[in-house]
Amino acid sequence: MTFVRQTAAALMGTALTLTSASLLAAGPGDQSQLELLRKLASPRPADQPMVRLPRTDPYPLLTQTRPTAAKAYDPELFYVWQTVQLPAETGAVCGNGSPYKIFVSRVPDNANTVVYMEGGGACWDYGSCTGASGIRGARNPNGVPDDYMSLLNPGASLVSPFVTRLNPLDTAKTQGWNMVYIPYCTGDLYAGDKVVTYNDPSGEKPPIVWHHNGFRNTRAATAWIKQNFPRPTQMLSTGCSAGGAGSLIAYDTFRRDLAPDRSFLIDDSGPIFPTPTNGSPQQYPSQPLHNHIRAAWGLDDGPLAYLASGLPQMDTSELGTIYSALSSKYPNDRLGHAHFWQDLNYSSYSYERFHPDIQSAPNQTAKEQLIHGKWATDTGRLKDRLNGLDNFGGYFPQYRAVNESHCTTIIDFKNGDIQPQQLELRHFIDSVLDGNGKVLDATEDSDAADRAKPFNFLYWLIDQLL
Amino acid sequence: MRRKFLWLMAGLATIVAAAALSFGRGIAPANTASTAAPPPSPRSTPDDTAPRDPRQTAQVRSYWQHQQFTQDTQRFFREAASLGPAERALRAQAVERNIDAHEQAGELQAGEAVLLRASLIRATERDPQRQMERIQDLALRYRSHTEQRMEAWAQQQQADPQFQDYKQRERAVMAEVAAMTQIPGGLSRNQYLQQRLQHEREVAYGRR
Repeated sequence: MTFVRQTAAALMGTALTLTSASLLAAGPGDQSQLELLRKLASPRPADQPMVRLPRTDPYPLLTQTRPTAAKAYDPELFYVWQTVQLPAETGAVCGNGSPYKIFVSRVPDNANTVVYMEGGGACWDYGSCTGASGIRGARNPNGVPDDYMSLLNPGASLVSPFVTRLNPLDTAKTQGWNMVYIPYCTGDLYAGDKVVTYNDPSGEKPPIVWHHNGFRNTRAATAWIKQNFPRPTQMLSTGCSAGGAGSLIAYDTFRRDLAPDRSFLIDDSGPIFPTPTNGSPQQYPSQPLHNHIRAAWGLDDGPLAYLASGLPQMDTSELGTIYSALSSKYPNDRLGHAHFWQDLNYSSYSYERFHPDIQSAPNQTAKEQLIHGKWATDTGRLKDRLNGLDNFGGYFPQYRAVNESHCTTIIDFKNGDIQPQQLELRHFIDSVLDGNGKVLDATEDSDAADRAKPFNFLYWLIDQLL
Repeated sequence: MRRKFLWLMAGLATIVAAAALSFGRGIAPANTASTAAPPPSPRSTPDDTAPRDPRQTAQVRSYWQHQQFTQDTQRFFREAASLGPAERALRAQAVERNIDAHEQAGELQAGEAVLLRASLIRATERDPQRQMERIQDLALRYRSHTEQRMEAWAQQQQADPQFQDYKQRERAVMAEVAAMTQIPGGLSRNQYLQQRLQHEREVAYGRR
């Protein structure tokens, strides 16, 4: 019997050891292989009860209560991009009044989630909201089709490695996460809450009704995620351009309502510059823009007060305080902002229609110099603010030869380097997503090394597509 | 008795160890080829009456196929430069077939597929001029498809009775609320307008 016991113990021990080693999960939110197989056979349902917020909540989480004709979401379908139409009762709608949709792709082996907010300009009048030529406008003036993710729409085609599963150019840990793609169709940096009528200045065409409904669209998307996805172990809120600003604006409510164990933010090229409402435009170049969008998008009629109610350190008369407020409220989160000093896209939106000196510039070169100058003033102030926040890093390279040096994390993570410090953008991303201690702050003084790089055919191709 | 017990223990331990080893290595089911996964089978929900063998569910097959596709594609891009022309071409064709299949299945965004296909061209086409031409053709093909679809989408909206019904109601409500001198319920004009328009959308899309 002793021999039997000894032999059995040895065999079982060996088997158990082998089993245990292979069953260890790889990282936060990852499941073991046994859990994976169990989940593949029976996917884990959403596990966050929807709590009815007080009726006084001006932006409640509203979900679908009755079936619709739209194709139902299938929680057992993994890796496939599924279209989720958010019905009218959720409060969501695109700018032109058509139904709003989000796109989701689930994985079976972890509960980590990346919420990616699409970029695509901004609009505040007939020309910019209808896509009139010659004016920088906003993405998707005609709404979002069901097969959006299969179309090479520039807003979707400038894919970020954060939200692709198989990117030949760069890897990111989010490529194995659950993904939520939030499209942009309201022209309001996901902050607006106003229905307006815009008249054609030429008088030739009928006026349009436009729904600056970005704030409510984000709330509806949040409600859907909470109702249908498991609570995130890790969550990244990110996006580029308007999507970057949107991820910054939505971060507190994502954080509160989705309640991840660990949370990260990367605002790529969607700055909300420190700008007092009553500041002078010469000293605070974004002042005219901020004041204009407050009125155009109804920011003072709900969204700002709602944000401030959750962020005690946010001063609604100086929108750039949102950085400090988030940093203070979430000291253990890792937050980051990045944009190029030579960005000519977001800067043009911010200044060219608001500063007389730009409008009267004698030529394009002079105009761009003025834009770059104002951007540098604003960027310097934001850089200094973020330098003082240990958990909110600021990464400011100079120039990249694609998309007017706009967006650091689209296409690939390359060429956002800060050569004098031997830093790559990836160092910043890693500092946010996997780092310890102070989140990396870095800035580049000269674009000489960037402009000396050889021709990049891929970037040239992407620019043609844009 | 002792011998039977020994065999029983050995058999049990072997089964457990084999399972552990296969889980640890992530061994895919036997139907995956060495360099290319077959196209995914049409997705279907598991048969609830079938015995619960997790290895055989559609979800499990889908998971392993996706893993195999990812690994094969990444391995090809890593090794392409060191492969002989014939093997490189053969493996590239297999990767391309998989890209086709996974794109058809809705697992790849358009931009993702374009980057993958462009990278395949760069890995297999040695002539820089021809490389540029093929990638441009690729981009134009996708761009053209997108333009056609977006045009079709705009026309679809024009012909969509629910959307047009809503837009008609929207115009009427906008005019009505704009003319109101008092807004009920203590709401702001914009708040009242939003509530009215949401109601109209719910009516138009059949929810009320």
